[in-house]
Amino acid sequence: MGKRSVVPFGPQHPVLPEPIHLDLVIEDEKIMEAIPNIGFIHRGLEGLTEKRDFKQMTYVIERTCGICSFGHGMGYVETIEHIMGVGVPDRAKYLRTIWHEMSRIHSHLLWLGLMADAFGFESLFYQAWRIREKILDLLEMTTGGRVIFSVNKVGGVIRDINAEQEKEMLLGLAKVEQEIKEIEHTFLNDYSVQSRLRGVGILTKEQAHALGCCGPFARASGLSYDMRKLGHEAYGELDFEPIISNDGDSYARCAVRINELYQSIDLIRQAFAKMPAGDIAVDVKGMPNGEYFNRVEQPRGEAVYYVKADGTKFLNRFRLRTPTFANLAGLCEMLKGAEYADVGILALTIDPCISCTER
Amino acid sequence: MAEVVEPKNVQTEIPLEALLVEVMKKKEADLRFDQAHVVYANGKFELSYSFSDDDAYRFENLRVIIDLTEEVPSITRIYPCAFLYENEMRELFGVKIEMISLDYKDKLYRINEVNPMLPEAGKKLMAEEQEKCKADGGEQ
Repeated sequence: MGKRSVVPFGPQHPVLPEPIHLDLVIEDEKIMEAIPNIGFIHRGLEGLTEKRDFKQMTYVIERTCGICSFGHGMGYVETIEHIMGVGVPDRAKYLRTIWHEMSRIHSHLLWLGLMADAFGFESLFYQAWRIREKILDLLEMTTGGRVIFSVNKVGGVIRDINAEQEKEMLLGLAKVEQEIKEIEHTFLNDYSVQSRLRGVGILTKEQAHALGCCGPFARASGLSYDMRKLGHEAYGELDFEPIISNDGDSYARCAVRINELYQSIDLIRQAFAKMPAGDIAVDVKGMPNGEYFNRVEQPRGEAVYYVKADGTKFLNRFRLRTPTFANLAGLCEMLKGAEYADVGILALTIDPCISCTER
Repeated sequence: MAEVVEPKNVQTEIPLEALLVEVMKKKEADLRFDQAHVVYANGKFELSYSFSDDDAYRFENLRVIIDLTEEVPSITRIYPCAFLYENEMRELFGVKIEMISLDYKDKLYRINEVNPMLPEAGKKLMAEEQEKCKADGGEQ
């Protein structure tokens, strides 16, 4: 047995722009154990329920994350709508679905770029983020924002997508799809990419299940659950199946996310084809009273929203369990046996968002 | 057309003594540990432990209501991945969870304030209950 040492990793690291610290117990460059440490940027957003009423909280909760901000806002208003028995107009459901899938494309392209940068393929990083800019432009055109959209409200949405914008979005997505195909070949077939990702950081299906993993991270290990199958918003009207891989390695996580890009584009096309005309919001009166758990498939995985309300304008409790919070245990398990040089890439393969985690 | 799987939130209230047994049953049923959290309401802690049956998209929740100074056994012996949730409950609210497998000693979030998410009324009540326990000769 070689000598064991404890090597700190993060919270500031060139490969991982997320403030997470790992205490790595290493033996001859091999990771024997990893202990996660967070808490560098805890913001106490859940605690703001004492100071912001339940409608204002929509805009607080959106700011949980700069990538999946739309999904957080949507998950929260869905929870409140369920407690209050609010029937959201069908058109609003489709609009939410479209923006949610746009956010997923934006998030996955961001991740692909970061991943390419992490394994030293800078031109691929530029290409992924160049394509992502087009998605951000389309989001800006329809919502007015590139990071925080603030289009969700309890009872529906505050913006519509008109026919001209729809046409432009579909044209833009066709171009994006073509460009993703061009970089997909490199991501999945290039020798240097494969040598860094194939067979590295394996997490088996059983391990992923036992450790409560979720999202593309879990689906790359063969677990097929995807909370969009719950049928919320317009997902129940759309045809799709969760994308999975049984390999459980870093390459599989990359492949699952690339295939989810195409899936999201397809879902947006289906949503536009089926979106009915009509109102985009209903008036909501009264205060929420009750509790509800809501699960939403964010780009990084399942997020759980819990609200307990007592009939006043301030919620008794809001709780958000983010995907990264659930995936940290899986990350630590996956690191065991890995080479020290792969830690940065492996941490990145769960698509960590510490901003979400330290809501 | 995709199959629509309706969410089914199932909640069962159980006594504290039954917590580990009920969690063990979830483990034996091969459910995924989904999340745990605490709510301070009516002078009590409401602990929620949530599990998922991912084949049926079924969500099950165990609810335990306890006094503020009651000790709660950790479920990390059954679901090791619960360590972050339990550390969070203890640090933010002051839930007395014992024997967490990876114990951050109230420094998971590195917050100086003690139990920052427990309302003032709760902190006062907790102090009173602790005083009462001391007076009764209890260990707190």
